[in-house]
Amino acid sequence: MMTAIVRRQFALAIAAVLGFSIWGGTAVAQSSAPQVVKVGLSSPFSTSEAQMGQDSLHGVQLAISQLKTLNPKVTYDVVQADDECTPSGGASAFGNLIDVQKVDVILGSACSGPTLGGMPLLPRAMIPAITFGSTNPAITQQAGVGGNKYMWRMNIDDSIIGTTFSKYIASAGVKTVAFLGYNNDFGRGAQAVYAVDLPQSGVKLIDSEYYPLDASDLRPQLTKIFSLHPDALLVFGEAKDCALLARQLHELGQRAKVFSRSACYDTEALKLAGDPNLLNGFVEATYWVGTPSQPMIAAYQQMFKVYPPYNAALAYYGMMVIDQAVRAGGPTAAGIERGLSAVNWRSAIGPIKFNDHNQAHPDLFLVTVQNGKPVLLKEVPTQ
Amino acid sequence: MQVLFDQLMNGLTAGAEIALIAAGLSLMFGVLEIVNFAHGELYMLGAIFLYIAESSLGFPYRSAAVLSVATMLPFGALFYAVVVHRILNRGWQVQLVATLAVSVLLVNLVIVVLGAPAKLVPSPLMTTYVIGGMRISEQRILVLITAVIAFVLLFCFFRFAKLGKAMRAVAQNREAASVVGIQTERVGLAAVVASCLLAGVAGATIAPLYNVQPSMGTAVIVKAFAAVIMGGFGNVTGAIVSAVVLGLVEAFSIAYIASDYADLVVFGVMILVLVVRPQGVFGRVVRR
Repeated sequence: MMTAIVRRQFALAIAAVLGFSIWGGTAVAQSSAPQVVKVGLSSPFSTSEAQMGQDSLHGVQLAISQLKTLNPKVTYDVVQADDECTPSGGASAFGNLIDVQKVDVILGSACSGPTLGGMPLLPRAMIPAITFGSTNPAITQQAGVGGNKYMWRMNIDDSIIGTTFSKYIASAGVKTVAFLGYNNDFGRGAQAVYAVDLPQSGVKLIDSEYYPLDASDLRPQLTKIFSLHPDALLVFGEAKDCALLARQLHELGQRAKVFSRSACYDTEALKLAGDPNLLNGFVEATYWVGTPSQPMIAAYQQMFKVYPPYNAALAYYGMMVIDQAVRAGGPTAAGIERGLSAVNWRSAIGPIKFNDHNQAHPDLFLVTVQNGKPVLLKEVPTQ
Repeated sequence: MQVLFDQLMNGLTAGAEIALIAAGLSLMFGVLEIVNFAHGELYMLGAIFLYIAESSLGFPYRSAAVLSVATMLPFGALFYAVVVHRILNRGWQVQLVATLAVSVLLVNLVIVVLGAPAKLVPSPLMTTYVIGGMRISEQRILVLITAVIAFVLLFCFFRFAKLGKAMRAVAQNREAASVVGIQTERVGLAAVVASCLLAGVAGATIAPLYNVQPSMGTAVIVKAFAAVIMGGFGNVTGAIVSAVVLGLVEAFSIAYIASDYADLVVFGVMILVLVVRPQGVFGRVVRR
């Protein structure tokens, strides 16, 4: 027969065993449950650049769907903020992602202006951001050692592209070039690069004209440019602007050599031109083009029923880089920040390894349009 | 000399496009004293209806253009009944917010229904002609001719038509017009419908020249507002003339100053005009 004391001790022992088993079970459950990383996508979802945001989101969604199998220990949750492709929009979007949506990492922006506008918010919040499409050289100049250590760039910028592209333009026998680009950080940043690189390659930059993001009539700028009789045109914009340019060049009867950083080979440009042969001969320097070695192309077509636009592909690879960083450093903002410096990944678009200015050096692609279709001219390592 | 002529043509065609849009904006303000911040989106809707008529319904361009303009008629009536009628006697703050809300609603509705990507509206009028050494497409000539016809018709309408005279009366003094038996509500409805029709004509003729996208109205409405302000708020003739002037100023500033300063020059001219003549070039000082 148990005495009261023995009954109490027995009860205590059972409670302890139950307690430990519950605690142990919870710990086991927690360690096997996927850890959640919240990714904030900053891209334009409104204005004339809204397509960039939509494409970027699709690329991220594809990557996340694949990562469920490739890295089941981590669950990626994407949220978005509209940066309108402007510096003030970028500051607002980054602020929203950091303070309201409380993300672990920011992916974006696709545009240079918002990246430059938003990156000053990162050190205060200690949240890393990785852009997959901004090309203004100032971003790298201000990032990494001696600057903003939380800003990272996966894609090559216009200072890296400019040297190679200027040499290629010179090798095509071109002596004089006129520049036509967006009147924003992207266009003006590029103009500053080519104003130096082209003369160094023996090509004279005879004129620089600009147009706003929502411009539709480029004929005044084109009329002025062609009155100066350049050998070639160097254009900076997006796919829809390249299509407009091609149609208006045709309307003006100008058969100019066109070198571009305007996604002129992209399916959107070829479609919006009406007749894709209007873009024949255009040569584009780009940081993404569809090549046979990219399984993401077929996966994107299966998921979204269309060929991936370049922003979708770049956002896809950007999301994959984030996963590489999480594997290296851990599923928190601090872990991702540590992990990014350790990333050394051979992607289908080239090596992704960041230097001390947080800049990676994947490959540069030179693409032309022949018979209304994009044709890869060469893939140039930039490391 | 050729460059001068080419830029003159560029400016005239750009000005005609802005004028087609500014005319409707000025008309609504002139008759109803409502600044319609959704007018750019009415122009966008005209272009979107054209796109739907061609791509989804399979109409050729000419029929699609007529259909898209005709669609703006019931849309204008709906816009009047649902929005304009309710804010007519409210303060300017309510009118501003209501029309801005319509603007945001229309842009986002188009994004949701058709998506954000730009669209191409094909047209058979792509043959180019050489006029004075400059190449210009049939479509652009259509815009010019349409603008001239629209403005002549508007002029005749206001001058000779009973409804046009009634609109002028309501624009001068709504209460007095009501007292003499003019049905001001019907006149207001007619003004809104006419404004939407003008926006529809702009969309149907201009859309094949450029990309059709949800934000296309936002881009052009700022210059249309500048034309309306410069011409004298509510003065349709003034808005049309000012729009052409602004188109020319923009083309010549790109040609002879710098393209990155084009907007600075255009809006600088508007401000200069307002400093010298606050009521606008064609406006009159009215004592209330």
